[in-house]
Amino acid sequence: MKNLLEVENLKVNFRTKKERLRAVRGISFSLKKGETLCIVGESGCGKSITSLSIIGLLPSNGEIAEGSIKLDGNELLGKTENELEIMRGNEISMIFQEPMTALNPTFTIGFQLREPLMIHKKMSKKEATKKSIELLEKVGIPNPVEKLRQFPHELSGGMRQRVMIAMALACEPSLLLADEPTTALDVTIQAQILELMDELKRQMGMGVVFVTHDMGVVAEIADRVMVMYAGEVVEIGDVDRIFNHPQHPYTKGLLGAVPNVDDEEHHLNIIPGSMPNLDDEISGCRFHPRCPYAMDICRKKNPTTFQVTSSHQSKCWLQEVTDVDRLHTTS
Amino acid sequence: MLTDSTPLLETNKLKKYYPIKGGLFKKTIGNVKAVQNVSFQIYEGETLGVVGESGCGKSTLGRTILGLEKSTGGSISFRGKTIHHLSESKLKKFKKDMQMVFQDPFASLNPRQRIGDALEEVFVIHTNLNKSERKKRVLLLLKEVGLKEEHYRRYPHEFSGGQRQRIGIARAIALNPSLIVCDEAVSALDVSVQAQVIKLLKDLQEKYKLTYMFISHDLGVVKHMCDRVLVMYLGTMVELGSSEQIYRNPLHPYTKALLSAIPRPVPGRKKNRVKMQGDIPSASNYPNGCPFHTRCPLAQDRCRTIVPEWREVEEGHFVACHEV
Repeated sequence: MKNLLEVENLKVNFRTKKERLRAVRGISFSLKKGETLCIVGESGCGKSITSLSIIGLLPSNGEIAEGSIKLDGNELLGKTENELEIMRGNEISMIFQEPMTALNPTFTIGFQLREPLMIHKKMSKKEATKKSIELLEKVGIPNPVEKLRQFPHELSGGMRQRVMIAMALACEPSLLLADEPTTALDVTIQAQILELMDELKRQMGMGVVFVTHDMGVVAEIADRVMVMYAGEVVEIGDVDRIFNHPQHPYTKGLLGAVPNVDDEEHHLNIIPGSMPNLDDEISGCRFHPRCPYAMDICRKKNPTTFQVTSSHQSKCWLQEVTDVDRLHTTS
Repeated sequence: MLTDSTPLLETNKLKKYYPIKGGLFKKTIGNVKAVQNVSFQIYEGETLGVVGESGCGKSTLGRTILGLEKSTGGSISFRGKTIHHLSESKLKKFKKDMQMVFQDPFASLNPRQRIGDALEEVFVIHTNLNKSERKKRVLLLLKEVGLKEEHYRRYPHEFSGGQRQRIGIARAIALNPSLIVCDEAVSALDVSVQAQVIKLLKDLQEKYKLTYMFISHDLGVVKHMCDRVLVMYLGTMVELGSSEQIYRNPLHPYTKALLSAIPRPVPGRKKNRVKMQGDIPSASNYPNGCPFHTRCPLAQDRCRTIVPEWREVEEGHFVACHEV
């Protein structure tokens, strides 16, 4: 199948008074139609910046220094603000963590839901209202007609997030970006929202880029997983491979640090140290100061990306060692 | 678990209501019942987890116990002495023994005060140590929570989230308390940092025989930390039992729903979710009968009118539900 989204060697910098911070350091990935890619990593690893770059909403001091982002074969970088505006909410939509900051508190739910439909789909107000009611029903909001007249503050957190999803899906985008959409919600509401998103994805066949730090959520909804650390992709692969055969020591560490409810004898694994700052220049592999397997080469040279299987890549020198081992055992 | 006869902390039918004022003369026209008839014990050296969704009253419960909120009714006793009616000055000597770690320690640190000075303040208020003795104690504390001596002169903004939480913990253990209430203490941290802080809390517990009341919405972390777990819903207790009883054999439909909703880090796992309807009702508009009946999959007629009683189902395992 053709790729819906192709990101090639993306580099994002932030200008500060003192220097230029490299937030994303040359990452590449692709996404197929109907697929969910989860980007995981800890705060400051560049996962949100990656999704903001795709939709062209980087903060004003951020700039894409290099690379290419293609949606359905069309290059997005270099598009003017007007061209991007036509795409946003139409072909690409985004859901944020805190719906209260994304909804306008001074307009009704109905007004905000109709807006993208009237702008992008050139619907009349009446048509848009009808469609809005359908959308609210679709995301499981009771009494949609009444809800259209309400303001965001009158809804609960879970309901607001549903409204956000309804807005994002209004124009049936081909790509949905979701940045920690369930992190602020209670587990019971989170479960409902995840189920809803999965169902809608299936119905509409869109591609989803889902940014999260919760490995449990990843296991529930991802088809493929991309693990980021300090601005780089360290591992990418199918969800089963990442959880059952993780290759990169950071991925292993992350999985071990998640408290498991079902396992009686589970001990939390601790990754020593903490995430480097964006301006920390680390020689060699950016993970080596925290890595339990660090070798000489890790301190000197940044690893290249090794192919573990055809759809599984790991950016770690250990992979080369195992490749050599494999050669030895076969010869 | 240590179970001597007198619990370290005991509450009996503890209540905390917030009045709703309205009308011309701002009369009280109703109450938000944040905590209702909560009775439980915490024994020396154990960790009691308190879980529930946002708005279930778990944080209010923690704050009321420490005297940060005045209780509306019921009693709190610490080492056998009732403390809920004490004046601020009399409470001070108990406060040394009960401390709190908050979710966001940054909010409780003065951005213009060096960390060393902030920690020293504790000793200024509660002890008669002189300047150099205080500094010595602070440096020891920093080491205890895994920070370095050089951090003494730094400002709060120079620390990462995990380090700030370590400062919050340092401040809580400064006076060798016996009870620490941790209110979502690790919820805002990334998993790898979270694991580090959990380990620190456990190490400190072992070393100083601390007792924790661990308030959290994250059931995975609670399972990891706690000996016993109290599940709250809309200000009331719905289930209490040992960690094993709650996680292996949950009885209340709400506990079951909560546990089944946790996303497990196992791809392709079959989901057997206990479905729950809608959101948690507002505490100002309290349902009659069982507070959970509006969302309960098992609700019968009697649940809508009669409040279920709190009963012991097996040893140490309590539940409030008609249908169990």
